[in-house]
Amino acid sequence: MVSRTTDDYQAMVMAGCQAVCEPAFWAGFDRSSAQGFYDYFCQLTQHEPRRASMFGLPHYTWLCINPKESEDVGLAEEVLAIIPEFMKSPNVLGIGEIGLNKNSRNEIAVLEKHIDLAASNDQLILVHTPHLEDKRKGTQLILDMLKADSRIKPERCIIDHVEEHTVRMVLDDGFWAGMTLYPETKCTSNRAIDILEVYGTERIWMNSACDWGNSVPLAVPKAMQEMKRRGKNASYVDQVAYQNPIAFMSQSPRFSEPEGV
Amino acid sequence: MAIQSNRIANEPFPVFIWPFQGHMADRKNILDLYFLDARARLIDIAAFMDRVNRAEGETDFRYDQFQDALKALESDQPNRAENVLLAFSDPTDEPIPVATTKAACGAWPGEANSD
Repeated sequence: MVSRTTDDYQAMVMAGCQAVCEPAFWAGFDRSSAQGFYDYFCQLTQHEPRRASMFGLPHYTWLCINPKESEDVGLAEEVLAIIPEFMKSPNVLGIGEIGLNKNSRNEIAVLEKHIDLAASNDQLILVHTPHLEDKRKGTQLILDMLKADSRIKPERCIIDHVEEHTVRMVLDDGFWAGMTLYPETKCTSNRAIDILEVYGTERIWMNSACDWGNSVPLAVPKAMQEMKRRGKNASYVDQVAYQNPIAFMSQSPRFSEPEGV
Repeated sequence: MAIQSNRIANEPFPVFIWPFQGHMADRKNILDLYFLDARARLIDIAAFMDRVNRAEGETDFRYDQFQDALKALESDQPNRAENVLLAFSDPTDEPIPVATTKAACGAWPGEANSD
């Protein structure tokens, strides 16, 4: 949400959104120092929750150095060192979105450090999987790394950006699967609903992308309308769009189910 | 319970009325909902291929994989989308030595051209 306008917040509230869950993200450009990340983490844990609260919207966040900036292991280690200070903030749900981008050895080294940070501090994990041609391989590498750490509980990890060729491996290993909806790239609303029809609604959620690129903050409300067009009943839509995210995030003691729903 | 008709009686062509909550969509419902959109996208694909043909020069691995992916559409198996995605995917399992770009191009350039 850090790159969205207040109009987006207002539209989300009017569409029935109950909470925002914002992962640490690549800014679209590389930050030049760990100090840049320090400021960003202040924004995620202090400023953005205040901005969201002006619209009555609870704001939660995740912390990490995004895999797109993980090729520089030295910078990543500096950033990892400042994360524990921010993990004490009341709106931090866990470590994320960590993962891989191009599936390189350095990205894997930094992912291992993130996994260790999460496991050592009993944090939930939000994973970003690679794009396009790199997704299948990267998703498998990530799952193998998470499974190799005996401290990691799959039910406390959500593997985001699943598509038709990766959702099965995620669910079969006991992890949560996330479908971040985009208007064109990655997963569209209709394909997300297709995936739900094939794989069911257990341990799977959908969420709206709200980043600096072409994304639609109201993608989930629109997908809810599309589910109704396909004949899904209110209970089904509620399970996918509301109950499942609540179930996953409630594993963090920081998360409170929104009131008045 | 039979699914009730979602169409206006005596109309010469289907007129879909939504929502029909509580009833699972049948194949005709799905066609009513998505046929025109899918038809338009299919024409877009055909036009894209015509556009490539009209242009001069050589294509590259992206178009080769695009043509391979099209074969998945001819299958009668219910996992065509999965197979299209796999047709564009890196089939290897080992990490690459170093990432020299952040971007993905949508098709696997092959081991010799990977980062």
